Amino acid sequence: MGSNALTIIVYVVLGTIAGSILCVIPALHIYNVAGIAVVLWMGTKSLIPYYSLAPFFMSLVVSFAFLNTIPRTFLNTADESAGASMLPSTDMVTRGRGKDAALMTGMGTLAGAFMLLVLYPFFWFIWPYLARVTGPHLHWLLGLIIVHYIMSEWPKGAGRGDTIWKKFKDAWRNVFAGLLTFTLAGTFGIIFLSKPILPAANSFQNIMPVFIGFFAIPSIIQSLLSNYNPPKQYNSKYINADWGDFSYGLLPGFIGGMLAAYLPAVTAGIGAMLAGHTTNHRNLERTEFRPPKEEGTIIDLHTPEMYYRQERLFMIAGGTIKILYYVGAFLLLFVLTELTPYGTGRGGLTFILKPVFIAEPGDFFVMASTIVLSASLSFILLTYVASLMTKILTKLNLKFIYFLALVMVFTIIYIIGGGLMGIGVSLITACIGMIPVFYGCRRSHAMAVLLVPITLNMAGYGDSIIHLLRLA
Amino acid sequence: MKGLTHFISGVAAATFIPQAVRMSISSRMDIEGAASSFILVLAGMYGIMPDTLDFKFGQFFEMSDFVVDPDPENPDPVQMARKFKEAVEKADRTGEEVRIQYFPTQLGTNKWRQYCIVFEESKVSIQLNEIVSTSQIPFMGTAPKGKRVGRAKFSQKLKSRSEEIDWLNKLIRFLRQKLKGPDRKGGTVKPSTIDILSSTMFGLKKEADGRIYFNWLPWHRTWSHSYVLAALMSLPVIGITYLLNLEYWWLYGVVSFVGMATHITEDMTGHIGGSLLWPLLRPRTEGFELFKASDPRTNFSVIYTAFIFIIFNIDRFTTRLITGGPGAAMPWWLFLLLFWILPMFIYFKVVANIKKKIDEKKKRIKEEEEEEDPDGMGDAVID
Repeated sequence: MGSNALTIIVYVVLGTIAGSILCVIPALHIYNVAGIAVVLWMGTKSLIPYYSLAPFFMSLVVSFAFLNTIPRTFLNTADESAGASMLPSTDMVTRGRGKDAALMTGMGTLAGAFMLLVLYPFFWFIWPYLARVTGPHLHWLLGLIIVHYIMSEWPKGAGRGDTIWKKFKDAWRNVFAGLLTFTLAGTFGIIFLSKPILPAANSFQNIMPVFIGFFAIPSIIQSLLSNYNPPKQYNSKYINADWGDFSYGLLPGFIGGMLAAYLPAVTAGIGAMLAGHTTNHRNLERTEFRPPKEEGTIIDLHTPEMYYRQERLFMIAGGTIKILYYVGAFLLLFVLTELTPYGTGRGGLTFILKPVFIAEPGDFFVMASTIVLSASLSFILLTYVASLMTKILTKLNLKFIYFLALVMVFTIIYIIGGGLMGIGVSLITACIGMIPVFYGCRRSHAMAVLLVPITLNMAGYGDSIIHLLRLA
Repeated sequence: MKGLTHFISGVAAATFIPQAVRMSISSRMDIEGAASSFILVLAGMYGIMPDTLDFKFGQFFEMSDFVVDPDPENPDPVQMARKFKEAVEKADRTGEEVRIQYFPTQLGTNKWRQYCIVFEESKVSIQLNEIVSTSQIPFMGTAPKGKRVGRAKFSQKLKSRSEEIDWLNKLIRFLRQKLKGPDRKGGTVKPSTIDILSSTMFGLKKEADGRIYFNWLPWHRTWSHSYVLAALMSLPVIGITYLLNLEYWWLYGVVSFVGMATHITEDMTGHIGGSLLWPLLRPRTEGFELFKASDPRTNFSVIYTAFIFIIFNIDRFTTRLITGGPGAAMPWWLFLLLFWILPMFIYFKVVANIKKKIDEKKKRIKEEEEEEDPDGMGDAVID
C-alpha cells in the first residue's frame, strides 16, 4: 500500500507537469485535451500502473484547468470556456494588471478544487437523487438549454435606420450570426456523428479536429489579425480582491460548474452564462444620482462598488466553473452509490477512460487526494508563470507565437487527428467558428455540434432525422 | 423580471400538469404515457416569448418622430436637450403622442460615452459623463472637458403618471392601493441614463389637464404582454400538433399558453405592467409595483423556487424517488421544507445582511462627505 501510494504521488506530479505543458498550445478545448491524453496513454500504457491511471489523468486535467489561465489572460486566446472571464481579464491586461487577473482566476480555480471536496455530502446524499430523477428527462432539459441559449441572444445593435428593415439589419447582426452558427454547427454535428469522415484508426479522435476548428483556430486567427499590444505589466504583490469576492463567487461557480459537469455537451461557457443570469446580484446596489461634485455639472452618477465587484466575480467564478466542469465531471464517475452504481461521470475524459477503467468504492478518496495535491502544485506553478509573464510579455513576439500555435494545432491534427482529412474537417468547422469572431455573437453557439445530435438521440429521434436527411 | 426568470418559471408552471410531465419522460422508462416529448420546452419558449417579441421585433417596428444620435467625436448636449424641447412642443401643439429616441454612443469595442437626461417639470438637462465599458464601469478621468451640460426650458409641464386610464387600469390601481397603500404623489420624471447597446424611447402625450404625460419605452409590454395574444399564439401550436397526429395535441397549446401567461402575470408585479387584454383593450395597464424588474432578490428567489418545483413535480409524477413513491426518500412537506423554505430563509437572511452593510457604508460615506465638504465637492467614491 505504501509503495503504491508513493507511485500514485509520482504519477500525480507527472500528470500535473503534462497538463501544464499542454497549456503551451493556446485556446485548446478540454475535449482536445482528453483526446491528447488518450494518445499519451496509448504510448505509455505499459508504463503507467493500472491503479495510477485515473490519478495521472485527473492531475493532468487539474493542472490544465489552472495553467490554461495563462494563455487565456496574457495571450488573449480564448477557448469556448473563457466566455465568462475573458472580457474583464483582457481589460485588466490592457491596464497592466494581467497578473491580478490570472491570480484571481487561479484562486477561483483553487476555491473550486476545494469546493469539490467540501461537496462530498452533496455528491453522496443529494446528487444521486438529482441524477436519477433528471436522467430520464435529460432530452428536454437539454432542449431547454438550447432554446434559452438561442432566444437569450438579444440584439446588440441599437436599431438605427429610417425604415423598419434598416433598423432590423443594424440590430440583428449578432442574433442572425448566432442563429447561423448554431444551425450550421448543429447540422454539421448530425452529419459528422452519423457518418464518420475520419479514418477508422482515428475514430477515438473523431471530435478533435472539429473542436480545434470551432474554437482554437478562430481564436488564434483573431489574435493574429488583432492589434493586441499589451502594455508593461505590474508584478503586484497583492490582488485587488477580498474574501467577500470569493464568497460571492462560490454560488455562480457552483451552479455553472455543476450544470457543465452534469449536462452532456453543456460546457463551461454555457454554464457560466446560465449561472451569471441566475446569480447576478449587481443591482443589489444600484447606480445613484447624487448632487454634483464637479463644476459645470448638474448631477453625479455614482457607480457603486458592487459593479466593480461583479467584474472580479466574473474572473473568480469563471475559474471555479472551469475546474468543476473539467475535473468535477470526471470526479462524478467515482460517486458510486446504490442509486448510481456506475457513477454519473461525464465529459471527454470519462468517455475515453470508461472502457479501460472501472471505478471502485474508495477510489473517490484517492481522486480527492489527487485533486488536492495537483491543485496545490498547479497553483504554485501558476503564480510563478504569471510573475514570469509580467516580466516577458512585452518582449514576446506575439504574432510569431500565434503563428507557431497555428502550425502546432495543424500538426497535432495531422499526426493524431486524421491527417489531411482531419485538417479538412477542422477548416470547415473553423469557417463556422469564425462567424462569432467577426459578428460578435456567442462563441458557444458552436457547441450545437454536440448539443443537437445528443439531444435528438436522447429523445430517440436521432435515427429518424438521419433517415430524413438521407444519411443512413 | 429577467429572461431566465420568465423562462424557468414558465417551465415550472407547466410541470404542474401531470400529463405533460409523463409525456416528457424518456420512452425507455416503464411509465404509462412516457413519450420522450419536448412539450415542456414549449413552456420555456413561450415563457420568454413576450420579451422576445418586444426586444427582437416590436422595438424595430416603432418609428420615432425625433431621433437623437450623438456624434461620437463631438457630442453636443445643447442640441440633444433642444430636440427634447421640440418634441414636447410638438406633443402640446398636435395633441398626438410624439416619440423621441436617444441612441447610445459607441466609441470602441468596449467603450461607450455615457450621458444622463435629467427631467424637471418644465426643463430638461443633458449631461455627458465618462466613457464606460460594456459592464457600465466608468473609466476615470474620461469625462469631456467643458461643454458637458445642455439645458432646454419649455412652457409645458411634464408628469410621470397618466390620468386618462381605462376601467382595467383603474381596477389595478385600486387593488395596488389596497395592497400597498396610497400611491406616492406623482413627482417629476426620473432621470435616465444612456450608455451601452440599446436606445431609449420616450412617448410624450398631452392630456386633458394640459400636462404632458411622459411614457418611458412606449413600445414595451404593450401588445406582446396580452393574455389574448397568448391564447392566439397557442393556436398554431395546437394546429401543428394536431396535423402531426400527436397524442394529447391540445395539451401542447395549453402548455404554451401557461408559459406565456406566467410571464405576463409575473410582469404585473413590476411597475410597467402590460396590455393584458390587447387587442380588446389596447392601453397598457400599470403594474402592482411590488418589485423592480431587475431586483436580484426577486429574480434569484423565483428561479430557485422554479427549479425546486420542477424537480418536485417531475419526481412525483414520474420517478417517485424523492417523494410519493413506496420507497421514497422523504414526505413531500419535508422535501419542500429542507430544499425550498430553509434555503430561501437562509438566502434572504444573508442578502438582508449584505444590504444592511451596503446601506451602513453608504450612510458612513455620506456623513464623512458632509463633514469634509459641506458643499458636496468630495472625491468620487469608487473602491
